[in-house]
Amino acid sequence: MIKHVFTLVWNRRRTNALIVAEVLISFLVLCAVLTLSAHFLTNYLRPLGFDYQNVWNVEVSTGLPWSSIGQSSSMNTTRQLIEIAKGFPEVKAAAGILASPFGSSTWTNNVDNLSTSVMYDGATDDLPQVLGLELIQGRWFDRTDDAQNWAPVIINASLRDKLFGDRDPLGKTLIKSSEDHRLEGRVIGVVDDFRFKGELRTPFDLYFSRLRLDDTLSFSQPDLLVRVQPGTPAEFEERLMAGLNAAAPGWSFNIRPLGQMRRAQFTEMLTPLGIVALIAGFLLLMVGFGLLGVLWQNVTRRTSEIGLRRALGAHARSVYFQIVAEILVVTTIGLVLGTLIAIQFPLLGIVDDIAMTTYLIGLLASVGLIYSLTAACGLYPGWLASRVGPAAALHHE
Amino acid sequence: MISLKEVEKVYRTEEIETLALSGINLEIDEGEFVSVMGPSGSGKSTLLNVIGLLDEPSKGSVLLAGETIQGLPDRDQARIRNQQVGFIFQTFHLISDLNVIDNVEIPLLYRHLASFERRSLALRALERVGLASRVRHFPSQLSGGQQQRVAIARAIVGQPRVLLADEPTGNLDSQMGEEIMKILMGLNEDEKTTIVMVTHDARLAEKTERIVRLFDGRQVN
Ligand SMILES: Nc1ncnc2c1ncn2[C@@H]1O[C@H](COP(=O)(O)OP(=O)(O)OP(=O)(O)O)[C@@H](O)[C@H]1O
Ligand SMILES: [Mg+2]
Repeated sequence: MIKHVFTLVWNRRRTNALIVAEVLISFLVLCAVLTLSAHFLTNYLRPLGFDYQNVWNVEVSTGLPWSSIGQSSSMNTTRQLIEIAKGFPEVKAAAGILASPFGSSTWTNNVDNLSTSVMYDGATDDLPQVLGLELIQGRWFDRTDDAQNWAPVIINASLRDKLFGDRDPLGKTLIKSSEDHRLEGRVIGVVDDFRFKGELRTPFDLYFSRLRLDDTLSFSQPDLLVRVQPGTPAEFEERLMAGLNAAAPGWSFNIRPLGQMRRAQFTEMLTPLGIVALIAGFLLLMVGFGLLGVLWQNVTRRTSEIGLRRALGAHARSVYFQIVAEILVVTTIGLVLGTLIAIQFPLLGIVDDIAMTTYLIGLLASVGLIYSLTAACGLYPGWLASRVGPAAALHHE
Repeated sequence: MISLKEVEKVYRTEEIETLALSGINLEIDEGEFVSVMGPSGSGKSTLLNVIGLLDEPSKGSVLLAGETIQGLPDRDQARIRNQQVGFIFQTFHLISDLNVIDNVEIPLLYRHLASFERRSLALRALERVGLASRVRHFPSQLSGGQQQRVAIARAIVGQPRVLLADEPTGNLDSQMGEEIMKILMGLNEDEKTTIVMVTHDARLAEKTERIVRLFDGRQVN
């Protein structure tokens, strides 16, 4: 019987090629959509590593040329700004940061023993109080780091695992000192994570360097992060702005809650994705209906064959089995071809941002869905056809 | 071999009720060759379908090879059709996507036979109808007479004791009809196969041992 099914599939290769093509296309589209969804969902479900609620971002523009950025005057003004912010009763903590969460800037640097460059961020000693950062090993920056002849760095867990494995990372060198006065970067602490690019981005390796407001060599112009008391009204923004403007005439500020920036980033990232998903969904619907039509027609057109088989001694169940087996064989051919194509993407490294497991989830879910779809398209008409009495089925043309 | 008692068959559609068979009493002995005649719509095909378990009678009883067949579950009915009965249809009903030998093997698929056994039985049946040289052809590559011979090979491949032929020569010219008739008579003589054949051709009917005439679903004599 199995051999008979294969003979039929082969002899009907023209019709079946169409079904295989439909299965192949739906599979690939589905696979792309599901893999991307799984990718973003797993990213989304991972902890951010910090608390953005009740934190306001103050974007700072000094209006000065780049060359003067490390200058002591802007450094002093920045220090004053942080003090002013902290002076408000609404403010619980304030810190300076080079690349704000949900912002657009990123900094990368090369790290010893890693071929790819690594993201880094610069932050002042108060950042953990502002963002609720938790250290899982070692400590955050503090005044005891002032007098060292090396630069303290803090790494995230994934960079630690990559560089040090099971060994204790504390005290290890992350960046060697260089001729041009660069200090050795030495690990003093580990945070679980700091996914400042937002929930949807794939987690990445990262380290913090210390931003000092009393040493021009360790200073770059940061933005400010301010943690306010829960329930602080939006009206406080104006007073904060007034206070900052008074301390730094000529500078300009843009104050936005991190929650709002996060939402803006979501919209920005999900809108193109939504459009892609919409197109994919539409395509899938078309192909799905096509598949349903082809399979349905394939089964109903063969009602007289079904009647004949029953006249020759097949019982209803075995006819049903044969129809479903045929469809499954054809579907399987389409899925095998589709899988062969789909695994080229991770193998060739085209989508190296997406984890292999995520890819496999997308692949397996697509296989499952396509099988269910074709089974549904085959089972129902197959069942209808096998219910027709043999005499009636024979006269069905 | 075949025994019908007070068989009635009513077809109910939404608008009308058709009495296709009524009060049929028929005994056909083992090895008999019976032809069924009657005008169009008189119930000949219905009679054959009832005998061959393709359709259930509305009333009365049907015995085939000593077995009462009403009320048997689908699985048992299928087994009886498979082992006791061979069907030959006016329109051949070959599966166009299967070649000759695969078509002939179909009844054997529903028995537990190894594939080489199926092959050799099918070949033997094809030899019997003189088509052993055409096993790889597809139905569309054969003449009508050849197609009907394939259908006969398929009907006899499982060595059934009853052959039911519904106008087997209806779609063929008279010369091919004669050929088919010769094969059927040969089977009846050599194999002692019981044959019930519906036909419109009085010349063919006269060659059989007995003619059952139907009119409006009733037997007339
Ligand atoms: N499935 C069905 N549903 C309703 N009525 C049917 C069905 N099959 C047959 N009939 C009716 O039953 C009667 C007998 O039909 P049957 O096919 O047995 O005639 P027949 O003698 O074989 O005719 P022909 O010589 O044209 O083949 C006809 O009136 C036909 O319309
Ligand atoms: Mg008829």
